[in-house]
Amino acid sequence: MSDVTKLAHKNPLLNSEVIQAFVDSVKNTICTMTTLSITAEKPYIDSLLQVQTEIAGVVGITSDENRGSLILSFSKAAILEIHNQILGETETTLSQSVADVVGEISNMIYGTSKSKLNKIGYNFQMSIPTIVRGSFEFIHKSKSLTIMMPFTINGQHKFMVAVSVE
Amino acid sequence: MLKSDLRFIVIDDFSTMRKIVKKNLLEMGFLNVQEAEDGQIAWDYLQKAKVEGKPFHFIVSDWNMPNMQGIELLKLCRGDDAYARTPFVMVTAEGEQKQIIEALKSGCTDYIVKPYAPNIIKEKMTKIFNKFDLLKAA
Repeated sequence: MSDVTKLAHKNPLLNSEVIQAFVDSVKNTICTMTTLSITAEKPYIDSLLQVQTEIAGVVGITSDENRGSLILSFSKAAILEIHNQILGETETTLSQSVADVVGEISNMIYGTSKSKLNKIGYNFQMSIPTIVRGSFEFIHKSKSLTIMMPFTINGQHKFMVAVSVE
Repeated sequence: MLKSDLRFIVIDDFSTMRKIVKKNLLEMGFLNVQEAEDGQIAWDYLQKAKVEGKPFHFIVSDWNMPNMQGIELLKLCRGDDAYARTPFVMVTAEGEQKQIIEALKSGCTDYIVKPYAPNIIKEKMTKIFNKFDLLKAA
C-alpha cells in the first residue's frame, strides 16, 4: 500500500477542495493587497518537502484530528515586489519590514483558508505565524503528506506555498 | 474637535498592518496615531493616556497577537469607564461568523476581515466618525 493510500481516509490534503481553498486564498490575498498579476501552477505532492529559500512564513495548522504547517517561501525578488507594492516603499534587502510582510501575508492566507475549510466541516484553529530568514530547508515528519503549490507573480517572480499535514 | 486632535491607537503584532492603517489615517488628515505591538502593550498605553486625562478616541486592533489578544483587549476596554463607548474596530484575518459574532457581542464597533481593499478602512472610518459624531464632540 502506498503512503498516499494509507493517508487517504483521514488526510485533508487528499480532498481537492482543501487544496483549492489554499490556492484561492493565496490568489485572493495577493490580488487584494497588490496590483500584481498572479498565476497558480499545478500543485504536486512532494514526499520530502523540499523547500529551500531565503525567507519564509510558517503557520502551524491544528485541528481536532490533524496537525501540520503552512509554509510560504519566497525568492528575494518575489517578496520585495510584494512588499514594495503593499507598503508603497522601496526596499532592497530582506529587512524586518519585509519579514513582517511575510508574516502578515501568511496570516491572511491561513485565515482565509481556515474560514473556507471550516465552512465545509473542518475545525482548523488560528495560530500566529513565525518568520524565518536565511538559507535553510524544511524537513517534514514521516507521517505527513505535503502538497506543493507554486505561484508566479508578474510572470517572472516565483514563490512556493507548501501545506504539510499528518 | 480638529482632526489632528483625535488620538488613535493601532494594534497589530506585524508592522505591516500598522503601517497600512496609519497611512490611511494620515491620508484622511488624522496625525495623532500611536502604534502598539500587542494587546498588553496597548492596554498599558490606554491606561497611561487615561491617567493623564487624554484618553484615546479610537482603537483599531488585530485579533491574534501574543501576550494579549484583541478580543481580550476589547472586553477590557468595554469594562473601563474611559473606553466603554470608544469606537473599537477589529481588523483581522479571523473571518468566521462565530468570531465576528463574538466580537460584536463583546462591543466591537466594526469588523474588517483581512485581506481588504485599500478603500475599506477609509469607508468604515468615515461611517464611524459620522455615527459617533467624533469631529463635533468635545
